[in-house]
Order: sequence, then structure tokens, then C-alpha cells
Amino acid sequence: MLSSQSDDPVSFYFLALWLNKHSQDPLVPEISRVIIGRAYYAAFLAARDLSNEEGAGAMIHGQVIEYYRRKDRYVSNKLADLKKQREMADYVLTKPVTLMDVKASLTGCRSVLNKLGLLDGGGFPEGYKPLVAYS
Amino acid sequence: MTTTDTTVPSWEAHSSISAANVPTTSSFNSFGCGLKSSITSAMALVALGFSSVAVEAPTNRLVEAKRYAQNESSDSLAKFASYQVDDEYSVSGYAYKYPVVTTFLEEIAPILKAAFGAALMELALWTSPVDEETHLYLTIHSGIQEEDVLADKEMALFDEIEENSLLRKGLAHVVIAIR
Repeated sequence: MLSSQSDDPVSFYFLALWLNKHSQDPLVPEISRVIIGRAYYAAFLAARDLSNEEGAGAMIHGQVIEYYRRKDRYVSNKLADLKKQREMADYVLTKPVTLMDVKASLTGCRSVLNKLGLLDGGGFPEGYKPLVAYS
Repeated sequence: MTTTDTTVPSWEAHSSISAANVPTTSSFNSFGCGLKSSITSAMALVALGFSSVAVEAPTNRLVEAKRYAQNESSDSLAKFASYQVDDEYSVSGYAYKYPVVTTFLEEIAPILKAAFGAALMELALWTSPVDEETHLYLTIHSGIQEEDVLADKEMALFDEIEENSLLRKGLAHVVIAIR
């Protein structure tokens, strides 16, 4: 059973990695969609928390992307890309999810977290203590 | 397009989202401009018995306005968007609405060609089912497997974008996805 620090968006990234590790052979479509979703929310929530943007609901996603368009276009673009992937994974069930989609989401998420200084060399961030081992 | 009736019951609005995802392979045409894609989606909804309100709900519309650029055609990304068609959700219609998009495509084409050679390019509109915002997605199928190499190219691309005001403006409407 997995558990994590629920107040830390980065934990979603590690959950996505863990799920990816355990679902690739064979690729489980439903789990792949969850991975893509968690990867987006890890990046989005981390970016939101570091921004001055507040609010909830549908518009906050665009607000955060717009915030980083002024601050860091690389992050903004990545968030927009991840957002689309997540929406396709969750809403367009007629489109099969591929390993490439999963990989793109995980690497995109990692890029955002790295750019925001939340990952230390791609590993666990300083001070981060997962409650269980993701292995 | 008429305004969506906001009084539509939530279950029906949700159903319209699912129905909009009916495969719209017929929306592809030889020019990939997504011509008649909205008609196709509407027809799909009608065929499934949804009301006119649901038909006209623009949520979650994936418009397969695709065109592939191979080899030398990566010089002419802007041409993808230069076709004048009636479909407001087509790539060309989007570029017509936002001229900065055409400028962006013209400016970035030689940069992409220098960085990625004859990589496959794809242009597609995506309307978010969450916030209903529409953006043009430029996907570069680089074929690069090494994540570090790809990341370096990506960062270099954004460094170039930062130095070009026309490209910076374009990013308000265009999202770059490198695979």
C-alpha cells in the first residue's frame, strides 16, 4: 500500500514513477492515464504553490500558465503541454495512451520540477521523506 | 456558432463531452486543415441522439487539424496556417484570428530545421475541456531517444525564443511539444 506526504505535490511525481515502474509490462491503459494525470498535477500544483496565483476551479490552470509565461516561458510551455496530455488522457478515451505519452509526461513533469528547483538531480528533493519506499 | 445554453443539465453537458470524443477520422483531409471538422463532430453527436444544445457545446473538441511536415516542407510551417477555410476551429482559422501565430510559425521554421533537421512536425488545435481555452500545439517528433540530448535541445530552443520578440509573443497562442 502506498502512502505519501499528501501536502507535497512532488509526491505525485514519485507516485507516477512508481506506477510507471509497475505497469509497463504489459502497459495498462488505465494506469497509464493515471500516471499522466499525476504527472501533470505534480507539476501544476508545485508551480501554483510557488506562484502568487490563488483560486480554484477551471481557470486556475490557465492563470498559472500565464503567470509563468511572464516569468519562465519554458515552464509555462511545459505546463501547457502537460495539461493537454492530462486532458487527453482523462477525456479522450478513444485515443489509446502510448508509452511515448507516458514518457513525455514523466519527463515533462521532471523538467518542470527541476526548473522550479524542487528536485535534486532528479532524485528526491532535500528534506523529502517518503513515508514508504517507492520500489 | 451559437452560444451554449448554460441551463443544460449537468449530466447532459457531461454526455456531450464524451460524445465529442467520437473518433472524427473523417475530419482529416489531404490538406490536414481540419475542414468541416466541426460539422463532423456535430453529425456524430446528432447520430448519437444528443440535443442541439449538446451539439453546439464546444467543450472538449479535439480538432484534428493536422498536417505533417517532412523533409524540406519544414521550411513552410506557416503555410499550414495559410489556407483560408471556413472552419473557425481549423489551424488556418486560428492563425487568421491571431496573426502573431503565422509570424511565429514563419520565424520558428528555420530554427526548428536547424535544430531537428527533417523531423516530423505536427500542428493541431486543442480546446481544453476544462477551461475551454484553445491553443495551437506544435509537436516536433524529434526521434531523439536520449532524454539529456532532447532536454538540451529543448532548452536551446527556448533560449532562442527568449531572444526573439516575435517568438515570445507567439507563445501566448502556441504550445511547443517536443517528443
